[in-house]
Amino acid sequence: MSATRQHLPAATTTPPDRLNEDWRFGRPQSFARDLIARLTSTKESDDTDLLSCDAPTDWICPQLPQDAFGGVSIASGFIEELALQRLSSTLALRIPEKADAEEHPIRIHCAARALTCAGIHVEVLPGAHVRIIEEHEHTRDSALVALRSYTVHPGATLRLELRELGSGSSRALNISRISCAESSCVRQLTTYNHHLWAREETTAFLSAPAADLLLLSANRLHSGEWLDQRTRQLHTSPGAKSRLLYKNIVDADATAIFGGNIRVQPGAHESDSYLSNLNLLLSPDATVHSLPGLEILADRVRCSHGSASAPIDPEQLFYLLSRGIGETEARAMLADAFLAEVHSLFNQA
Amino acid sequence: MSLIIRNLHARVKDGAEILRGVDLELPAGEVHAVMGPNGSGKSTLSKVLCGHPDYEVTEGSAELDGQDLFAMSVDERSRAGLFLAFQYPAEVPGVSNANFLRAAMKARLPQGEEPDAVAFYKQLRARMQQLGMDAKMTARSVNEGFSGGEKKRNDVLQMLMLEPKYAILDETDSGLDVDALRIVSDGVNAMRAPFRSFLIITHYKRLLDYITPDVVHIFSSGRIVRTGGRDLVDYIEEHGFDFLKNEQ
Repeated sequence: MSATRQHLPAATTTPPDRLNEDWRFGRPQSFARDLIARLTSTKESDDTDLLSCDAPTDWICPQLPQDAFGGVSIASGFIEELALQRLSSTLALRIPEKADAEEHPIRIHCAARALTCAGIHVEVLPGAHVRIIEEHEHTRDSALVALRSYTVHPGATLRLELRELGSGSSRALNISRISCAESSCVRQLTTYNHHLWAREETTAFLSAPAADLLLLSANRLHSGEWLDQRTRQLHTSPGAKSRLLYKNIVDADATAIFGGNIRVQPGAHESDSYLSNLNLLLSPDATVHSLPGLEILADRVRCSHGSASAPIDPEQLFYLLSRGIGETEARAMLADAFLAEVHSLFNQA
Repeated sequence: MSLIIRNLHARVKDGAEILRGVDLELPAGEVHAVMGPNGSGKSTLSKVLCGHPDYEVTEGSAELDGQDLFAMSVDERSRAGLFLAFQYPAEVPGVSNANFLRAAMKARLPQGEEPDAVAFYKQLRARMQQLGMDAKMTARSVNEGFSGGEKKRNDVLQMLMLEPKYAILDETDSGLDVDALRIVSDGVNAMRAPFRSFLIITHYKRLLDYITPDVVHIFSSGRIVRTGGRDLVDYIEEHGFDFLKNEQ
């Protein structure tokens, strides 16, 4: 598989248009150029064996399945192909049937260096219940492309927390696939902290009845940071349920981008789905582009979507101030409160 | 020690003038009632005194224990002893009642000091019991999903906890049923002290049946048009506010 420079994505910061599907699943912005340059450079050394996991050793597979990754990126197929060629750190985990690892979560740690192409494949077998904390810890100027694949079998439960721990100058691209089987229950919470640039492309497949998916994200963006999240909830079977709530606090001149879509395929009747992107703007220089959408090709479905971006509610702020709480503290409390809903939803049984 | 308002004029920012020369002195230890028809500016007075950003003082002054009230920020006014029980308390999702009150009490302590947790929760439970509030409400978000009456009780709970020197109750009786009105009134009466004053804004006599005011002011068209004793409440109850039309 050859990769040539002419495939470099165009840099664009054009705001979204409701009818512009190209934008919704648009290619990465100009910040990705640096990542692609590293991926295509022969000089860049690949860091290896940077993934660790504290799961029981007999749950860790010696190698990745043949078809673990590939073909699920929303718009970064070119980068995905490059990363697959340079996959340097991999982890394959198989949670046995009916295993119970909810109280004591499994920790996956990825130490991202100059260039890290990581592949994480987790299979949760029928009836297993597992909680996983996946941490990507970045050093200065690091770049990470993580290909993530989570397959949850019938009757299994997965509670997954992805923590992106940036260094202020780091870049991260997470291309994720989540497959939900019959009567499975999946909750994912992603948090991105202190990345110069981060992009998430998550595709969730709801391919069996009674699959239940909850995608959550809670982020604080500071000066100069850029977070770009693209999601797709793909209902291919009747009677599945998916919900998405992504919230960002956008401060200073930071930028948050969200492009999300629920697609209900023909025949996926009785699907129940929503997606919501909410942003709290703490600065007049903060930027948000958000474009949620629905594509419904089946009957008898319940789907909704929404997006809202606003500064702190002045009445709420006044209420706190009127009780003597200083403005800095009051603003911090309201910002924490904005994200509290996401954490609360994740922690609910 | 008193709250003194002199010739206060205020308007909605970039809008119409609402207060048109309010004069009022609220000495320590007294309860004053402010009555008046809808739209006369009673609630605006309370918000202007607390520093609501929607309003702009165009003329006049207010002193709180000798300090220039309008030179203080909203939070400074509160820490100086001014409290407003809102007509429509805001909902603050994601901030629990307990954390909210702890933050408010911490703000009154010297930098770096925290309220004693055990004493705080003991006091909070006692005050909630006094107001007939469910203890589970400490963990609920401030006013989120509360009924109108629960919100009013919650504001009174905050008043009991923060123990202000000057409390303004803006139509606290609206939305309260008879039992709740009595409980809330008992809470206010229990707080009456020689060093504490209340300004009670209301449309109705019924609250003033429970909390006996020392002075009653009638508000009309943005200013106080008549001041008297408890008998003024009975007069309003009997004649309504129509007599004000002849006095403007």
